[in-house]
Amino acid sequence: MGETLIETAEQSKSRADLEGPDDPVGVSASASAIAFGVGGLLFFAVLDQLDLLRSPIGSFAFWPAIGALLCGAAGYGLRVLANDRQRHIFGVVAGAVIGLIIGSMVFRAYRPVFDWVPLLSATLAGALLFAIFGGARRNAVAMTAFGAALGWFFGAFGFSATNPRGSQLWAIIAVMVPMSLLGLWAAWNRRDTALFWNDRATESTFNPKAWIVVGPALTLAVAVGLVPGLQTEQGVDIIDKIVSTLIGVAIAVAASAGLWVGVNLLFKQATEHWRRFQALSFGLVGFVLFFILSGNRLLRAPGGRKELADAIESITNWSSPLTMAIVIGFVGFLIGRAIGSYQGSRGIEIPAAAVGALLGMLLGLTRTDEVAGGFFTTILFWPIIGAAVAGVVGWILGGTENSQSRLLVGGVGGLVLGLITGFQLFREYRPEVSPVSLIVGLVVGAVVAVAVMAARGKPPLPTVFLGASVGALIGGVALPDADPRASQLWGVVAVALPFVLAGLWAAARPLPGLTGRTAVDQKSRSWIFLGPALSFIAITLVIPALRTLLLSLFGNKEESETFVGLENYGEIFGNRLNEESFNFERWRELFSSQLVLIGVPLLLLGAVLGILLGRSTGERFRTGGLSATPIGIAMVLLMFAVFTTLRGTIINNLWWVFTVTVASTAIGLAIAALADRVRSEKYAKAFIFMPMAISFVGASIIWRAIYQARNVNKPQTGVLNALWVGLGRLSTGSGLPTLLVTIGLFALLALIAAFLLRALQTRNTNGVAPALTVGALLVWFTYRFVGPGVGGQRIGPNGDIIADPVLFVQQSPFNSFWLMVILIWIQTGFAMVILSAAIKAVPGEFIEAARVDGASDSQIFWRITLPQILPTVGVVVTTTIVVVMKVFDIVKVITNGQFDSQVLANQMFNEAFSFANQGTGAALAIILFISVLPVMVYNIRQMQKAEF
Amino acid sequence: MTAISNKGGGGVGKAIYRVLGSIPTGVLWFLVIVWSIPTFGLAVNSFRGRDAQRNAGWWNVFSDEGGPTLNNYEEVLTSSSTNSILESLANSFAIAIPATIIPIAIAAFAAYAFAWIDFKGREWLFIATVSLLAVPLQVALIPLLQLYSGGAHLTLPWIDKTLTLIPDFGLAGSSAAIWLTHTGFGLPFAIFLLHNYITSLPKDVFESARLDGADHFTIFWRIVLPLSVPVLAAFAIFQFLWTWNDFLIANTMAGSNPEARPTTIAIANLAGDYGRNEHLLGAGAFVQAFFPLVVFFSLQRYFVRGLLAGSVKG
Repeated sequence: MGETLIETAEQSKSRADLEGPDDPVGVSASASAIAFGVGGLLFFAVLDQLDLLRSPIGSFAFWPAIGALLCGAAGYGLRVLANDRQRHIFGVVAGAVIGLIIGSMVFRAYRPVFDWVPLLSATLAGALLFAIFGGARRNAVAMTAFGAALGWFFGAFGFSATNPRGSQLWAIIAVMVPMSLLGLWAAWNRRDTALFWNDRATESTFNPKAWIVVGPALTLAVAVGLVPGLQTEQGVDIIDKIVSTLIGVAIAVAASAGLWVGVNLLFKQATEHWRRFQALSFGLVGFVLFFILSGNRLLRAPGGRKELADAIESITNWSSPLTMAIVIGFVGFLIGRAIGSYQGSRGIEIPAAAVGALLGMLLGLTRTDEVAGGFFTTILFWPIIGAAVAGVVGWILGGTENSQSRLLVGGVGGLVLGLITGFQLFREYRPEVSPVSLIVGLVVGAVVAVAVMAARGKPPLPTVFLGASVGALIGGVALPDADPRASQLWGVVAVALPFVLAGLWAAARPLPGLTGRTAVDQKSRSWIFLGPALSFIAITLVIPALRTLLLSLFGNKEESETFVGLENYGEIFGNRLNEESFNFERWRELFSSQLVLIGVPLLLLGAVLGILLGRSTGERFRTGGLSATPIGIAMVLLMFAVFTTLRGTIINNLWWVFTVTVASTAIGLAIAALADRVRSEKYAKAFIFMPMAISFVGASIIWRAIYQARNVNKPQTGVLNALWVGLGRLSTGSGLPTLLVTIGLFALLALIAAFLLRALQTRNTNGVAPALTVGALLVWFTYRFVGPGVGGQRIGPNGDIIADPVLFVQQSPFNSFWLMVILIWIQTGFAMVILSAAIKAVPGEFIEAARVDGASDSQIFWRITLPQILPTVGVVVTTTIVVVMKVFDIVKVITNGQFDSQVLANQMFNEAFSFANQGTGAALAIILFISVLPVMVYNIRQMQKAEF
Repeated sequence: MTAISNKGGGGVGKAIYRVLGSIPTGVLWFLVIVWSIPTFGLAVNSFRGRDAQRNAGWWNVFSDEGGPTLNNYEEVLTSSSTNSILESLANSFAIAIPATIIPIAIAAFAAYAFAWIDFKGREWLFIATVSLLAVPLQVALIPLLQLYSGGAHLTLPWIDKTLTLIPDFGLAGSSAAIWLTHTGFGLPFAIFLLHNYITSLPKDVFESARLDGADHFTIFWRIVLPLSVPVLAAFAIFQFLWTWNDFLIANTMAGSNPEARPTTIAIANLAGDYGRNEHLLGAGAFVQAFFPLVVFFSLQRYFVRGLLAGSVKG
């Protein structure tokens, strides 16, 4: 399968190649329309999020939709118009229209009233600045327009002032002018802006980038149009929810992408701009380190003096829109830069930066009071200082060859940072340290480092400093001290010393040559690519799983901090929970149950038949339909006998595993084999498969309806009980229907008898086993039907007949079986699909050869097809086992473990989240894990071999 | 079957064998009908009124008073009604969309790195990642819930201060908690699936690209991603269905918050209130299953592919 898919992808690629570099205007125009449309959607969505726009219909979706339409149309026009002048005019007009709409729709309260002086000067400054940039890049006009627009925005919003001359009419113009300037810029830059969407590789028939945009939009449109409830007021809230989620996700993705690209760019510097790389990476480390310290409120805010704090606070207040603009603009710049460099073009970073800056400024303008207010002084101040110091150290180190001056720089930088930390630590956290433990720790750390490096056959030099640093940190701060010399002054030393040593460690390695730098660049790639995935997995899977292991050793509820060892496991296996794990009380009934009484003779019958048949062929035991069928049926009956008399959660789970795995694999295999030769195979399979698409909860609800049992006096509404009670009526009745059914039963019996007789004559065992099975069941059924009666009926006290429905959900132990049926219903489709694929892969010539030799269809299946697909059956079985082990939803929805139907996963959920028994819940989860583990390991190995 | 009927001999015998020969096909269609009846029955019931559903089974649909009705769907889909699952439908989207998109992006990078970037410990790390498929998600639920409701803290034995590693973002009971969890649990499978596919891409494509001076990012963006669209689609479909139909994670993370719970929980609650809304269950279940069924029927090919490899997940 994989290969054909590659082929098609390659074909589509080569088709795109054939079309050559002159891509059809239509495709790129729609790509550009989509690009602009998305931009517009986001821009308007943000404006609307900030409550800046009046909405005529009160729907959240309105403004983003308008924005997407307008900007999309603009993008389309910019791409289609061939004539330069027309395009420029179009750009200006389109920008003006969009600006007019925004300007006039901004709520009066937010409309800025502004001063002309800063406005004009900012515009001029922006235009000049970008004209210089643009001159270097030979698109001066576009860049000037862009710069002017940016400057205008800053002037208009950044420096608003109460001015008697200002009027709100001008505010509309204030928005219009820069937007039309932006339009002009876009028109001038036609190729650059469309480039990202113009990637030829995506212009094959399947254009994922387009569908990413179109898909959700279409879904939304359909939802809005079709679902009646959405047109109400609350419905609007619901659309809001979806849209705001989407925007949230878009922002999160963009931010992560920005970060990711930023790191990529950072390491890209290593080869050619080592100095820059060092400065940036050192600065980053400094920032993060101090952010952690500062974020945990370990460091005192700067300046005990009020004036200093006030000054810093006032800067953050007025600069918050500016800060946001710079920060988000920079992120946009990075993204644009990365995309641009990989598209082989420049110029995308500027619009990306601009959009980022605009969004940031708008965010900052409306959220001023939230963003400021102490955040800067308490959280951000020290990280910035730390980043600056470390960055400077990195910068100097990046250009210094002399090892002595390197050590000096590293040491001094570490000292500065260390002293800051030491003195700014809040007094209550300042450790009292004895110099002895500090020095002991330092020496031990250094010795360990030397030993490790010697063992690895490497020079000890840089690592010694690291070892000493860690040793000093642990020794100085961690070791408990009863030393009377301990003092807080030594505490400062203990904090500062590791910093100094770490600085020395960083400085002690020599300046790398070109190969070393390239290696840093190259090596970083794998970790950058893996980083997001690995950290996500660590946070959501690995660490929680380890923590669960730990929790399972601790007590429940208020004892959650007490270590109890394996007590939780003891409770589970010692039956000391609400639900017993094992219940062997009724084991004696095992030998008197009907299932055993039928099963054991059947087992014997099968064995005898197998031996007898084996005599004729000279085998000790002949495995064929005649011997295997009774043995198989007997095994199932005996297993059921065991599982219905021995009860308890874990045994119940095992019963689930046995029944569902056997049944769904067998039925799936049967359907796959039967469907293989039917013309309308596809439809038959689709119906069997459909339950896979339905949720377990939905399936449970579907089957609840089937299992419904009602009062005996009312008509049954559940299919099964209706059939059952109907059958009871029929068998005890005396009307024409009863007579007809009786005749039919006897006719069927006669048919089977005739078939068996002929088989005896011709000595052809083909089909005898199923015929005998069906025949035996029919004989029993006919006897009951004609005699005492079958189905849901019983004789009442007055000799009348009363309906007797089955309580499928409530009657233990078989209620568990009826729950299993639901899972069988779902899982059979899975088994069928995979086995069907395997059957189709059996080489046709084997089957042809067998057919020529006169083998029947069933012989071909048992002797050729089945052995061939056995490994796949193994995968199906193991996969099903894993699914069944974890069964939860069905039990939760239908019985929630009542009526003796509890399973492990549901018990785990109830213990952990309903009863707050975290220890027990964790232990149950671990038991589940351990029981699934071997099967999963086998399964993953198989799958890797098979490489689906 | 011809082989048997030849041996059968006379006319009556032939006829009997012909009847018997068609039994397998008959069994198949019988099974198909049995498999469809549950769904079909509930579908019919969803168009019947409350009293009709209470008094007679769905097979009496033609003798119902007043005939089929859309009232159940209207009640389920009208936001003003107390039984509306409309809001939960929005929540389901708010969960399923990010939980589908984000793992794809993250896993594609990782799968590429595992497949085509040489680095120390690659083999080992990949096996470790894939073997995480064996971890049932129950194992991670309790600590994750604690993380969402309180952040992650580290108490070092030698300082009196608890360090906050991950602050409390107020995720408890939010849909973000659900999709973050889905993202994490989806990653090992996504990496496994994408890695299998990306390694099977022809090697010379990469080599010639590298000779042309392309770096990893360029190769990934310009070659691997466009070629991997089918497998990305397979994963996306599988993950969408998985997250849309999930009950366990949603119930753990946001079971008590009506503002964040998805359709599966809404419907389970509808089923759990002692039969008062029994008549709405059919409509509710079908609204819930509408999107998965659309995805299933329109993209069956990809779905099967995802399923073949994906059933081990969770």
